[in-house]
Amino acid sequence: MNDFMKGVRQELPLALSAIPFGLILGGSLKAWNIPFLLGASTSFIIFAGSSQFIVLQMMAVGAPALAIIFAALATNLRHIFYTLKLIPYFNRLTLPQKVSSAYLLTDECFAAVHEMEKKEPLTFHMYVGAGLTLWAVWNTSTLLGYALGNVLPASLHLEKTIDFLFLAILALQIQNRSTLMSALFAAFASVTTSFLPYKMNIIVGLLFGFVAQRLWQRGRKHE
Amino acid sequence: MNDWLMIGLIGLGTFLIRFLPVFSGKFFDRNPELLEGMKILPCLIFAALVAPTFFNFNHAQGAPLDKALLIAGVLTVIIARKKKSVILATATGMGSYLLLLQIF
Repeated sequence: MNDFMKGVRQELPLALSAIPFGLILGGSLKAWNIPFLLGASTSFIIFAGSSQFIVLQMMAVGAPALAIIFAALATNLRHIFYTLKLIPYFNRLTLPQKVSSAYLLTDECFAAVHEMEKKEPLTFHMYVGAGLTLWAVWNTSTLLGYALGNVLPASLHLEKTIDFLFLAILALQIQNRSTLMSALFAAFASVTTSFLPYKMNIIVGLLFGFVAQRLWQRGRKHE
Repeated sequence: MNDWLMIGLIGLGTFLIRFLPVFSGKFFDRNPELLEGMKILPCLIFAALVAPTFFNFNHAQGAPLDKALLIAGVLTVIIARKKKSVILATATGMGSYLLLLQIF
């Protein structure tokens, strides 16, 4: 088996598990009144599931562009860890290979290539095999979701799917008391300032939660 | 700001977040607290985004709490924590919400 196919094989189970999310994303576009081309284009321009959901949901409620950009990029900051973990691989690449590898670097791609790297030295073709598999599956499922969203009745309240999806992701991200406490602060600040215009309560919640987490960590260090 | 420009900027920003650390040298080794702080950001954004939906205290408009949404939300959290599956939890939340709408 060549390196490209090794990447495809490693990525495939992860890519298949992303299909429901792509379907939800595509299916929600109509409910959010977001033009198809604009919504679907996020899957290849941004190519980062969580932040795509955040961008489109914030657009749907009329949040200002700067708040949307801030929230999306803050969500994607975790990708810095992935690049840092893969620096030995990146250092072996030419510039065009570095650029294409960085574009394809998602949670699922990182999970696959990180596993492969444990068994043998990671090559560009293995990486691209993994990355392109996810890219193709993600974009196809977004398009399929849009087609489905257009035939399903409004009484199914598809627009609510995203709220339950976010809540489920949040529930799984809370791993210790520090994250629980910070998330509660963020939630409380966001709810109590929800009267603010342009959905700025989301940014207020983010900042409050972040400060709470920093103070908590500092307090733990002084104990 | 034009929607396309905004999507383009987010796409560019996301790419740079993935690309620039290749050239970061030892910057992040010297600033471990910065990295630690970044880890929590996605969790905080999700919390700030979903909380107003489930706890809609819009007193000015006299809007009541959406009981169906709140109960379905609790079920979503329970399933997510117990089964460790985002899709199963989301499906549970949506399914129970649609059922509860028939009751409330």
